[in-house]
Amino acid sequence: MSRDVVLEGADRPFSIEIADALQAHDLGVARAGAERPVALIINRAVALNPTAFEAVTDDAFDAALEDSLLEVLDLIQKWVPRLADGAAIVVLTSRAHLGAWGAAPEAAASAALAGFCRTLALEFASRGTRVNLAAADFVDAYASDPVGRIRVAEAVAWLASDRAGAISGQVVLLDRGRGLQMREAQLRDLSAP
Amino acid sequence: MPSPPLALVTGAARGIGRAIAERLARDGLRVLACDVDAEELAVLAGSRRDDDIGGVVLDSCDRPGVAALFEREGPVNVVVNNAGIASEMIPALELTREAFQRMLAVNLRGTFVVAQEAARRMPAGGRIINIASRGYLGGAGAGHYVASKAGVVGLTRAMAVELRWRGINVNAVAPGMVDTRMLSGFTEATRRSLERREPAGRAADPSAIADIVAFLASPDADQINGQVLLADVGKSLGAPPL
Repeated sequence: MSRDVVLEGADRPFSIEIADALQAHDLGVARAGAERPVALIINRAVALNPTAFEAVTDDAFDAALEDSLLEVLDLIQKWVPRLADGAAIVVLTSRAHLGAWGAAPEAAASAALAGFCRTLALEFASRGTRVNLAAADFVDAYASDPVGRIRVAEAVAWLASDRAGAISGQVVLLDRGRGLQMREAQLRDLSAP
Repeated sequence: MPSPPLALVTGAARGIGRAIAERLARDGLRVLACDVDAEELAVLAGSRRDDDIGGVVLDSCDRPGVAALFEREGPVNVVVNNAGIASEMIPALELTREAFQRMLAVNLRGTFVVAQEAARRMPAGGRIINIASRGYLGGAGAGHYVASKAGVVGLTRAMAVELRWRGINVNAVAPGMVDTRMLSGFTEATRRSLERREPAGRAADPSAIADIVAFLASPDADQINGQVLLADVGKSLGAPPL
């Protein structure tokens, strides 16, 4: 049986680590012309260039939608008819869907992608295909944190594997608790240095 | 006496938008009712005895037109981004780029343009309310619509994170099935079948959504920011057991 995984966005941060992490599940990134891949991983990791909401340009907004939605649509339409039965789709995005400073285009695009992936999970369930969204921190947060990148990759590889066979239509937050707004919470602790 | 607060509602010629415009006017606000449909706006204006609702022909995606409107009208205190489209059901594998782009342009980019031009000029105490849809949670055959409305929710959160320091609250309302022209694409049989699946057994009246928007626009909702209010009588909690 094929253990081929298609990795789209191979030139983006996390992709090298994802290719490594797949090996733990006896999976490997396919060369061109993959036969009936068992998983499709679409890497849309987001590098944040913080911009105040009032200053966001139309071009920046459109670019985020192009990257996260229209290109993902193209890739889904290209690969889904070729996937093996019971295949997994994992899309990697950022935690921006929860809202973040200076990240209006990314927030809109990531949240839209979350809704889109939930819809794909519903539509592809009859094929036995699972679809999940992995929401990591912005790539800049891992600049000096190679272990953090590996942990994100391990979670993505796990979602792509049969071990995660019970999970579909979910947004899995891989932000190490940043969603808890710890920095903001510490600001309220007046005894903190 | 200070002049009453000014509200701007998009997609206001009919349906939920019209109900919101009428409700906010009843609450004492002056309302700019914006819509692309001049004829329907004239019908709305003709139905009013007072001049508390002014009709404005506006395409939410037309940035120069939106900016010019805000420049002309001065500070707007409440903005309701309601303009939106639905479409026929299209499975993701058959969805074209063009159909996806059009949906995102009207429902998401239009909301972004109006909200941004509003935020650039909005005084402290302002409110921005974006009309999403229960559909943002996902729905087979509606990937483009779902994505556009989920995007509105994400945009709402990002705006709330930033604008809270200027005293501006940004929230979203996600209605379930509402009795508007958006349902006109369904046959009567399909519509009845859909209504039976609603916890209330029928589509909501647009005024029910307007009530929620009026609350979010009022001082009573000061503490609510960056939230999505699901207004679907609990349908999104899941279907009853068979």
